[in-house]
Amino acid sequence: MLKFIAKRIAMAVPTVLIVSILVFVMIRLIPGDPIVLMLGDSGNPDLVREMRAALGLDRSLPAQFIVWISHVLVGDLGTSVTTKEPVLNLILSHFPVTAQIVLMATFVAALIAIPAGLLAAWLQNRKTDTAIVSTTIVLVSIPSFWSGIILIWIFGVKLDWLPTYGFQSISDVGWSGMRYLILPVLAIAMSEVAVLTRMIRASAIDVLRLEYIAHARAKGLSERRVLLRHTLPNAFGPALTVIGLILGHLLSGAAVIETVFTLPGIGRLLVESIYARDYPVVQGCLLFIALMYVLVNLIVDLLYPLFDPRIKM
Amino acid sequence: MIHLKRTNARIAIVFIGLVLTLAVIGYFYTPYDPVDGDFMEKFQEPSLQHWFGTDNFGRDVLSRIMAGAGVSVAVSLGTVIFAMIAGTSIGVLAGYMGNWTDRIISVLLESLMAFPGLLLALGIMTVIGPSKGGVVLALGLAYTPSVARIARGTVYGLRQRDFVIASQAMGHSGLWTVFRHILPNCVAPLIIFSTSLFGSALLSESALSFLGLGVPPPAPTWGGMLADSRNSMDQAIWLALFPGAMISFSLLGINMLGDAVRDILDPRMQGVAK
Amino acid sequence: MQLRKIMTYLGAFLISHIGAGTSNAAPLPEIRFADAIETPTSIPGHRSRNTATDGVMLHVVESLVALRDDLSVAPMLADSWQISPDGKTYKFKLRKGVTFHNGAPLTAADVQWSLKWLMDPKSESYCRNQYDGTRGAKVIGVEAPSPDTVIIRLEKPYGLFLMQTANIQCPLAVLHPSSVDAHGNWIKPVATGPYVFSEWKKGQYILLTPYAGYKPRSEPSSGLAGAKLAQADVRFVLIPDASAQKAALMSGQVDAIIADSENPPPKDPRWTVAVEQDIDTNALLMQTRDPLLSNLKLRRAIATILDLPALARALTGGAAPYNPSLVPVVSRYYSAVHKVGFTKNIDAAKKLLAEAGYRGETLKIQTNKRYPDVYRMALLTQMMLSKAGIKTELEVLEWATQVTNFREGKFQLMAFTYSARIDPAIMYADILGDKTKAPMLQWTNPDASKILADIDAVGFDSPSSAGSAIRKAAFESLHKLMIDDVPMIMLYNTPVLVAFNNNLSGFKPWPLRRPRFFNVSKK
Repeated sequence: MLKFIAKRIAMAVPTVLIVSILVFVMIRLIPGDPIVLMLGDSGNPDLVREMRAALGLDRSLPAQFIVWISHVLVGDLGTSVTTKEPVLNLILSHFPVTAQIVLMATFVAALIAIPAGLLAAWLQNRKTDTAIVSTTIVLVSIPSFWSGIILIWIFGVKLDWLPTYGFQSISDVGWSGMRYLILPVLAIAMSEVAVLTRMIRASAIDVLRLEYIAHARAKGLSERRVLLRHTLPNAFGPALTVIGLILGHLLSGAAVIETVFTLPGIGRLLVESIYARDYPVVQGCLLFIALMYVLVNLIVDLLYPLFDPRIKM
Repeated sequence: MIHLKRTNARIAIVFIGLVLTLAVIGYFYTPYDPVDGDFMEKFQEPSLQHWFGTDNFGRDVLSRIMAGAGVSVAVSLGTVIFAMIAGTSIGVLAGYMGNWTDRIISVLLESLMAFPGLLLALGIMTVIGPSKGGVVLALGLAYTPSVARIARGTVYGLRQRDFVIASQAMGHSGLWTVFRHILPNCVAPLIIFSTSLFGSALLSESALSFLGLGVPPPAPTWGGMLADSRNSMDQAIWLALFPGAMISFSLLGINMLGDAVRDILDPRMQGVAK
Repeated sequence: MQLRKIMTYLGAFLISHIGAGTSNAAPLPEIRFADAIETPTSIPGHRSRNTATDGVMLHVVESLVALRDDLSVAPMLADSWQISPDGKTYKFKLRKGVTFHNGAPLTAADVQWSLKWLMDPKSESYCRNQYDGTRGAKVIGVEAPSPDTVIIRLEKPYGLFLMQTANIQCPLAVLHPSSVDAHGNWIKPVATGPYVFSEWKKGQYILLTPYAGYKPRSEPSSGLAGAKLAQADVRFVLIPDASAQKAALMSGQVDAIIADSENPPPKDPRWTVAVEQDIDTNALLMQTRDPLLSNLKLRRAIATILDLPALARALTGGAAPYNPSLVPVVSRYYSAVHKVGFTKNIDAAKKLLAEAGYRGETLKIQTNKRYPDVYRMALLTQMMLSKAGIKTELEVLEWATQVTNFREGKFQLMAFTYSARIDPAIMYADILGDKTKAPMLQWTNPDASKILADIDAVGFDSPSSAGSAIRKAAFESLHKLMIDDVPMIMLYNTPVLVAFNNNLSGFKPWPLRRPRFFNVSKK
């Protein structure tokens, strides 16, 4: 087990290294740098030179990279050029927002998708199944940023039930913080529920075909037991992979949803830092995201055998 | 069962056909000029003169939707073609050659996949500047690793099959084996994936436009129209309704088609009688 | 059955608590302003500063003098001052009884310290070059002969010196040395203004609270001068999204926003949308070093083929007039001469095009989507030019890319907004000069440069002084030269729409845009 983990971590190192080099180079390829943005339409060349030197941007690319990576290895992700805050603090304050929403949405989606998917598989090709499949196709076709906009319009603008922007952490203000989470979670969950239901349905159908299910039925076990004790755990395996993929994807790609709902999450932090050419923040965030991705994949791979004993580590 | 599949496929084809027709018509004719607006007519509600209303510049929304159809379809198609060609080549290379080639390519693919796709595309767009070709390149690159992964996986499984070993034993070159035996067997999973890829590309193109880095204005794109609509949500919700509906509509057709294709190509979905 | 009961109670409990916690019953009323960007620093005039910094700092710090609504100079921490006949020595008499936020009394030594700190590289001041001779003045000495007298000596006379110290972008803020720690590192501003910099939650808000020991001046309030009474807490809330800001105002969550001119809050008895003429300049830049656009006839053709007044009207919804001059409409130097710009004349323009040898080449207009005003300007210009026969194409860039191109002169046409300069001379100086040396400049004309250099030393204490008249004449000459040379096409000064809740009384917008919340009370 430990050997497996060690092996996986060793394999992750080159990945993360390549990602950091890619990010480092790419962000500097983009025209414009943070100083130009800060000065805008004023400021003389001397000031520009001074500021550039102060940020270490006057040195060669490899030199800058070495400086950065040597800091990273001791845990220093640098300071934001625009807000002067330590990058690590920025990440640690923005990430929980994204995580809260993504996890909640996935939880809500799973809560609905698992029973729905199982039901659809069990009643395959009957009216219920058709209804469920049709609903999932429709839901999966609705982009979450569109549903987000419409939800804001209905519940925020027209009905004025929920806030249309912003975020207040539950740890700060208690339950009233939930109001800021409802709409984004809903928007994300709507798409996720569809994807998950389809996945679970497909793998449940697979499993139901298998011989040992027929065997269990022949033994006289009730349908409920067949479903819950035998089908679900085995169908869940592939679904777990999908959940892992979704989580990994959402953790990083929530940028659009966070823009729509004006949430201080890590997706938006990243997009805005790219616009602001805030190199340290972009580098730090992407490094963090790559690490998250590797971690999530690792956890999924570790949990997989729990659900499918056929797979050995 | 077959009846159901056929119905779904039929509906899908109708939807997609409608979108494509819109795109084609839109290329040649739109009721109004999609990029020109009469400032006096701004924020008009949908009416007989403007079926979908007008936007903040007085531009006819229906015309923009029609023109945007062509852009969205073209860009998505381009992305799929790029990713398919690039991804398959890389994936087959890795899967067939194995050993170090495979390992190096796999690590590179892993790194690219760790990169959030949308952000990779965003970064590329910022470097090359907004353009139609740029979006295709950016999104194509973002999706290539997923295609490569599938191709590689399939090829890996095929390598041990009889006809491949036989072909190699007969002395046929690797290239010939690949083209004659391996590629044809990859077609099925890749086709299934390409339908969902098309959908994702359409969605991503909209998302990029939404973030301001898609196909550059004033050429209309559905995602861009959606992004612009946010500011005037309380006065003109139709500016958000129609582009979003069009995106959903197109995705619906594509997804249904994808489902139908998968149902046909994948014998396991024949169903289990209860 | 049991389960159902539990769920019902749980549901009711949750719903009842979700509504709670929405109203903040604060002891002192709190005015909330939504800002689209956040200040990166609490150091006034720091080189990373942005408009949010200026907006907060104008409540917290004060200088020796302050700007009135018409941008003339008024006493603030200095009750009076004398300028030597050679224009090189300024002698200020400090106001008595002023205290800092920490209770310490204001002395000349503090002014001395403040100027020294501004010049120190550690302050990373944005405006250091206004005082070290790079631009304008060179301060060669600061003396404090007595606790209430400050003498500042310049190397050469510089008419704008006083005004510069009162600039809201980089004021000569009079700070107490306890603003920095023993090692000279910044803590927070300890100044003399009506508000104290109380709390800063990064990414969320800045809270200012009234300074109990503040003694307002007796003159009537005007601009940042005169009496400034702090009657409520002020909270600057970060809401980056324009539609979110609007929603926040409409639901009462904030009290004031700067509204989007295209989509302001609808008329409602609960709030007022006030329009104020700002001094930002919106212009279509033309790169005179571009092979096509170096031809004066082509540039003039562009300027006369467009219906500029209609363009300005369309872009501002009628809120601001066409202003062909770099001098803002609200400036006291603005005269009938400045109203003369380009008149639409299609025949003459077509003739000029032919003479210029224009063969239908496509011109590119650079713009971005981040600033809707700029984007609209480019879009409408492009539509108008194309309809008139000059082929143009939009190049929509990301803002950072556009700014980079601007600074390097890499463009053909560009839609741009120049941020406010408090004096036309500064604006002209930022445009005029040798482009080969400084690509950020727009206009090369040695005669114009000379006119500008000549008024450098001219002082202008009051609007009616001789100095003012000299400057006024100079600006008129500069404008005429500019219309002849057509290096750029000015369109309008940004009208600022400030939407504020009607429960704020005493709120008035002003040309420097950043809202002022002193002398404002909230019911």
